Amino acid sequence: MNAPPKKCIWKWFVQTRVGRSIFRVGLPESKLERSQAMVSSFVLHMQPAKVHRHSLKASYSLGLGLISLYLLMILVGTGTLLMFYYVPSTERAYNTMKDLQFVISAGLVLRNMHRWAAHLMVFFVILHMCRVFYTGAYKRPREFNWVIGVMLFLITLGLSFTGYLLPWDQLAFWAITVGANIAAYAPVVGPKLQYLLLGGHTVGQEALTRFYALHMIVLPAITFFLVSVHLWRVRKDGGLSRPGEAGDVVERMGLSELPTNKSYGLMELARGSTPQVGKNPDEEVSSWPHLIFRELLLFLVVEL
Amino acid sequence: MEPNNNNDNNVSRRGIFQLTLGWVAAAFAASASAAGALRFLIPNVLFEPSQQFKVGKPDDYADGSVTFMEEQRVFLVRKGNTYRCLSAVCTHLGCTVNRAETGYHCPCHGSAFDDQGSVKGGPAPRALEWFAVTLSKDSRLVVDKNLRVTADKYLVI
Repeated sequence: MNAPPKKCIWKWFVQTRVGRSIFRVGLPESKLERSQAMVSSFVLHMQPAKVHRHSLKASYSLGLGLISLYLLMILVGTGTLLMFYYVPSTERAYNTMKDLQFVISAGLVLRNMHRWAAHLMVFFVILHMCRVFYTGAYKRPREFNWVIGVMLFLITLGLSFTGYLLPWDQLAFWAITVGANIAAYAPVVGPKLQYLLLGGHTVGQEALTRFYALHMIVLPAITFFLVSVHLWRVRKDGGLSRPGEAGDVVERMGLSELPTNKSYGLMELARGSTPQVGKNPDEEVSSWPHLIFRELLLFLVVEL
Repeated sequence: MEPNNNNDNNVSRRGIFQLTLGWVAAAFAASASAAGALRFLIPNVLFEPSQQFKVGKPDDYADGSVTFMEEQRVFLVRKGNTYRCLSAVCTHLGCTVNRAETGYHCPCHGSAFDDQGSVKGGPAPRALEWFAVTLSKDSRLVVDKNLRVTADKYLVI
């Protein structure tokens, strides 16, 4: 890896017609261009153009939410590959799982990555909840995002539970038998819930098919939607929580309190307060490269 | 109220009627499709082993024996000329109990039952179930897991 020539090729590429059509702006040099880079790219526009210095402190959030997200990405990637071989049938599920382990190239690595990432995701989601709780990040105006976070936590557990049955070994069978019986203890609807979950009275082909459908599409689809809302709300609720929030220039403004000598974009009006309100401009740095760099660094660490 | 909101207060009778009708229709459609989807998910036909099954001739079982049937998860208990059938499904969380020296023991969470299926220890909330045993016309023992009986009900031959 020698950086200078590569950078030159990169610079040349983004200047070409193809490069410009893909990236729209070149590598950002000035502060303005850095902001433009963030808002003009689909991938980057999910990030704020400016970020508070405090939010970059690794010691505050510990990156636990991002780690959870990256683990989810690993799970989606490895899980999609596992789907190419796995057959959700009581006769073949165990054999395809063993094939993945012993016959298919890299199958063992993918299966173990999926398994470990699943365990770690439950672990990190719990830690993320703890961090949010201890830093008071569930308080106003982030209450709703906390609720979405709890839903995501429950769905994470649901994904773990449904994925548990799929290897169709003794551990899976009895774990789901026990789990479904726990569901049957629920008041009033318990036994009906168990019947609905298993598609019968015992853990059999119907249960495997149901858990497969839940694990492959139903719960991931809900997860995708809720994660989108979760991340969007992080931004709309003013980024990461900070100790000094109350001391910021203006905490939060209703629409009626907006000063009239300033023009606002439609998007900002629709929300009722401006995205920049509540932040002290002096304390902010460009997201590019500070935030992006940190996110990528954490991604590499998690991948390893 | 601001002036431009005055229209809201002058909704016509027809407007209210249309609005109500619209929402009721939407709610009906939504709940009907939700109910339909839920009903779709409840299976009507099960491909599970029959709850009523033959377990062989009475003489296949020795006097004083307790025979475990893995597929049906029951114990057939013979004492003298009496036959009974005990469920091997733990009443705690549905694991299969093992025959112990005295009674039965669940490997999952340590529930213990005596020979009559009563709980002697562990988290199990209820005694093991007893199922009705009858004799078919061709002199075979028939167990019906749909018919639960008390521990003192025997089939006497």
